[in-house]
Amino acid sequence: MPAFLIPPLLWAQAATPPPPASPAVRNALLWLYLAGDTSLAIPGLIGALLTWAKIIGLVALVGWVGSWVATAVKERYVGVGRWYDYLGLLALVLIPLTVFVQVMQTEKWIRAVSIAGTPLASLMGYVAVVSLAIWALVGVWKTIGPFGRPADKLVLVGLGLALALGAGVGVAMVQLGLFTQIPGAPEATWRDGVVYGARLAVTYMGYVVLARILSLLVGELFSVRARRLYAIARVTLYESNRKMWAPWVVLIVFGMVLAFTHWFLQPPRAAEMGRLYVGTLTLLCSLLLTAMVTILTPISLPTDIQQQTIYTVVTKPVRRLEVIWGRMLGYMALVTVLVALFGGISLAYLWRTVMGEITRIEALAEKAKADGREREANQYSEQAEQLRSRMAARVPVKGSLSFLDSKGDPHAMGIDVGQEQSMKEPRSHIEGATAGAAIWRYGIVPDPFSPPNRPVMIDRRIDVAQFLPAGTVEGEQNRMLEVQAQIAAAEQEKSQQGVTPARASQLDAAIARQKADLDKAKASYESLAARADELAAAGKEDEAAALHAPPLKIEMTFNIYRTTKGEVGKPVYADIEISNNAVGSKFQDVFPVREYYTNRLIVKPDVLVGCLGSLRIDVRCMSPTQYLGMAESDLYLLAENGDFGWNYMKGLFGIWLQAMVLTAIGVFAGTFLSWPVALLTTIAFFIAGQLAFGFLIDFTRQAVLGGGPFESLIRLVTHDNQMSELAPTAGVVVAKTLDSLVMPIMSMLVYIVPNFQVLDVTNTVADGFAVDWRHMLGNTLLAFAYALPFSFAGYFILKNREVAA
Amino acid sequence: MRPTNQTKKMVYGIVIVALLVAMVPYTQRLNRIKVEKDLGEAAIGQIDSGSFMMKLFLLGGFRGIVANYLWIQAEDYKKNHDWDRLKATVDLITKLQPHFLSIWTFQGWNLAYNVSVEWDAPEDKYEWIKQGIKFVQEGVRNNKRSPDLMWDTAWFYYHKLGFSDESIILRRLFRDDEDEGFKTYTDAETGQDLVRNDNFQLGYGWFSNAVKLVDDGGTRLGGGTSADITYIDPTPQRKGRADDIAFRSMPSHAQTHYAAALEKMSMAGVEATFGEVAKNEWAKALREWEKFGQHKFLSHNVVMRDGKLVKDDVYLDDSTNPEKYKTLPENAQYWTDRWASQMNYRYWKERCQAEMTSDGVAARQMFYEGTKAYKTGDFATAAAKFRNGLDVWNENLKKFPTYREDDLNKKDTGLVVKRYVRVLRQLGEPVPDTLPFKDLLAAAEADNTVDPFDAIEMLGVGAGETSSAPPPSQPRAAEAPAAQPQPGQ
Repeated sequence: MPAFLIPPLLWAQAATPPPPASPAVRNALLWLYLAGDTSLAIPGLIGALLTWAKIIGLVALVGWVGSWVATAVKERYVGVGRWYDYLGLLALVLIPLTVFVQVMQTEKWIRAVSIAGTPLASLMGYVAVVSLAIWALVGVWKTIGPFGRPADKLVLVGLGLALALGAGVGVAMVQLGLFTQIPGAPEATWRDGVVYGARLAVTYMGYVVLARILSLLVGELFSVRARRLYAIARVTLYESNRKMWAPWVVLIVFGMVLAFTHWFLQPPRAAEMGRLYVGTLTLLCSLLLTAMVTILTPISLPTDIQQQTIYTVVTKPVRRLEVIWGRMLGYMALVTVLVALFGGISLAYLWRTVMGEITRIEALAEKAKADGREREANQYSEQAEQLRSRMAARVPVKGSLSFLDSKGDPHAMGIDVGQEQSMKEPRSHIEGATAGAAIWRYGIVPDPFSPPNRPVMIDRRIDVAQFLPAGTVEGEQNRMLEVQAQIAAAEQEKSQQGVTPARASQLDAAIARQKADLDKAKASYESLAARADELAAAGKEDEAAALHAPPLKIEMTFNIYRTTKGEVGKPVYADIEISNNAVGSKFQDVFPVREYYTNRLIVKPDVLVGCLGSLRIDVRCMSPTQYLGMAESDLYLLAENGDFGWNYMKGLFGIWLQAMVLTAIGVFAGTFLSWPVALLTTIAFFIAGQLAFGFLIDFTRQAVLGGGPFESLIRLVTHDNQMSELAPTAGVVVAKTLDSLVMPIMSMLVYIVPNFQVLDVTNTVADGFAVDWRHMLGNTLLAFAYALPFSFAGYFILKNREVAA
Repeated sequence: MRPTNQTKKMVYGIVIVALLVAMVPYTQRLNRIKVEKDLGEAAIGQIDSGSFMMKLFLLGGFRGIVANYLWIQAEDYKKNHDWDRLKATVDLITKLQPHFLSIWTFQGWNLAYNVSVEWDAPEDKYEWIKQGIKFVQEGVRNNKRSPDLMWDTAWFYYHKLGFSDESIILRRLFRDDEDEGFKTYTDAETGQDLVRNDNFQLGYGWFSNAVKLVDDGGTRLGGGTSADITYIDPTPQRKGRADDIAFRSMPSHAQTHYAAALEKMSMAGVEATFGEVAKNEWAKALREWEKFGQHKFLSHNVVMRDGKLVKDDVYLDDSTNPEKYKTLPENAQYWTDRWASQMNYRYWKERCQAEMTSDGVAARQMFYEGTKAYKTGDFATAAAKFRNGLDVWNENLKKFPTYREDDLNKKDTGLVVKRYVRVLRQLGEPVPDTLPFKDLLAAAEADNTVDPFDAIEMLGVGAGETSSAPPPSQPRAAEAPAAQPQPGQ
């Protein structure tokens, strides 16, 4: 799979002689391939949009064909015993039969048979698919005639063209020898090309239908009016308020839980109190809001339809899309108010409890110190410090981590000591008192996981101006050195051969300008430095410090793996060395590692001066026979300590996004289901997306231990474990056949069920790190990517439905 | 005629009221049975209204599913080293299943042993051990009839704090702990709440309570429950069965360790205690051993006596009383001897007897002071203290042959002899032929192990506060670059 993530690279690695095709054709084929293969996702915004379009297109295609076939059946154009109906029946029988044959072959019940070079199972599959396609085509064809508009006929033509295009692309890829490189088939015939092309064609067909749907939507979108949306939103808001007292119920439950938190949460260790409380409070907000939305949204439309109050709306000139969006807006207005209230209340609560705890612990530390209990005093002040640092929004600047092993050889990972740990970002270890080191590099550095002969560079530059602000001694000194470096680069470029006269004069002008800059920077640096020295000499340390850049803070969280106890009570020591190779300055320190605490190092900011964004930090373990473990996020420069309250609200915004997606689903379900079913559907979506999404992904990857639902059922009943192969009895084979039929359909769910987990950023907030704006923007886009299609689907259903029946 | 809406409502209302009324006598009957069989929640342990509310209103029948989910989550947190979330999750499980003993035992052990060991600094280890002990104490409050949980509490105080590699520091942290509730136990005899500064004392207190609970007939759900109840899935009770000899010996062990710990620097930076205090504690230890020795155990086998198959009464203390021992039937002799050896009863009893004498305490004090002088290079003092101590010790032990010949004692005394000989060597004096315990020298010379529970041995005489340095608060400067670039060069 990772190889597929970088197809252009694969493309470039042609092992076979380069195919005789022009670059334009190759590029066109590449894009057609990228746009057509659904098993492929490229990183970045374009890639995400493409994947989104593919999925929406496929869903649209299924919906479009499905609706026409349904009409065909309803109008008795198909399913009446004509020749094509027998084809449909054949497909219906052949599909399970094919899977059954396939399973019997894998279970070695029957030998694998090939007919004319094609395996029997594949052949049966082709026949089934073609029969089904013909049956569906006849149905659509016959119905579109009397019922369809000209545009629908055009779509049918488009589908034909898409099929031809797909087949053409498939065959062309085989002909040009590209096929073997991408889909990974050892040898490709034109038949493989056609089959693969057919797969691509389905995606292209999806695009055609998507285009048709977009054309239908455009008109509707332009007729949406804000005042009508507002009116419906207002009614929705009133309704949820009056009918269900929803906001009040939720608020009261929230207040109740807060009032009795001590029943649910024992007072934890002081150091982690903030994290636990923030985690619990955000979980509570999330549960209450999503529960409210899940219950409110799917009920409203069906009740309106059932009680016929919908007449009062649909008989007015209100667009159906406005009915949907208005509702969503109304609910989201409610959610917004509640999020603001929850945020305010919980922040006040956190302030009272956590800040109170900090004061308490600090008082204890003072007392312990006064009593001469040094160990306890240190412990208390460390805990207070931990708590305080979690109640902030820290912005970390992370480097790229690589290791030296005990012999001093470079590696991407350190030693695996075999400790059980989280696999999200596993720590690896360095051996104490050896050449082993962990190195964090800043700047444009090679990705340690890329092969050394073809390194992929990653940008981990430090924004030096952030640490050394202009107008401080170090800031000005840094500017001076930066300008100097620019001049040197320009002069080097000028001295190279082959510089055009125009470029040379351009460079001259730049150098002159930069020299002026340099003089200015130098002057301001010297005056600032002189003033700072004067103030320091006069004993005004505070004023002198104000002229300097703030100290550089480095935070570290390492873990310790002891092979011997060592001396009782003696910590493991680490050595840190910060090198600024651009100017050759260095900083070194030895500190005791405190496991599971944030180790802080405060360094004078000069070490960054003139580094041009590059820095290298080496950490070594000093204590022999002990190991120090780290992952990339375990050491970072602390850029700023943002406001916790603001960050907390950003965390709640993630919950707001979850509620929005859920609202879209609820309203969508309400458009065609009765309220109890709609309610269950929404709950199912929520559970699948929030609790079971990881499981769904495993499902798609066929990585579920113990097989699909039917096989699992057998294991459950027979008390068999998940690992052992089941004996191929008739029951097992039938179960596996059923699984093979059900699993592909169920694994499609992963494309439709929203990934609620990823929208939740409250863990970052609880850990005391700032939520990045880019991350929030990405999440917002993702939420809209889920919510909009659901609302549109709801619109189409509502539009084609007899609401007044 | 079809009933009108009004009539319907009235009928429903009456049915509801009738059902409620019918419930009253039934509930009363159930309550009566509960009281009879001692099955009420209050009988098992304290009622926690929060937990009760959560079970009743929020979860209902989903309690089991939620508890299962939380167990899985707790194990995940453990795997991911997210200890505080593990603790919070475990607390939630106890709210759901407060009378399920395994959660308290399993997770209390998890916190005190498995989590604490993952932390490097002794202060952090101590904090997690404390969390574990408090957790299992909460279990005791919720299950007042369980000797198991009480015993677990005692064991954590006694063993995890007292026998870890870092015990000398952990015990000091316990002594300095200002949380009085954590240092309180209820005296088993007087019922008074006592605050003590030594974890062995707490261990003693809780062990005694566990034994008392068993003596009072307290078994889990047992008291008052008539025999006609058969539990489908009876709660297993691990501790305090009738033949559990080790269980009964624990109060004596804890008290003995407390007395022994007094006479050395068993807490980093805290000087040893001798004199009347030490004598009293040894005397108390002896009383505890005698109490244990006079408890009636029944032999495992049955013998024919007076035409009936009976089990013999076995008292371990008879093994130290030759007159009485001789009068015992052969079977009782066998079990007395066997169990006394199994528990090393003779050694423990005699050790207490030997140590509680004025001579015993004085000798220990001289050994302690001699060792300190030896470690600080004051050899003249060391020689005098060692020599006097050995003489007094020798006189004292003449009355206690079992203890004298015991390996542990030989090792202790041998170490003093070894050091005395080394001091003499430093002073250039010959080893006197009259030196008592001279026979122990060879073995002591070969033995280089040190007592891990003595701070003087582990950390040295000045072993006071050794702690990790506080975090730096002042920024430190970078070293000057090798060649400071000059602008404009």
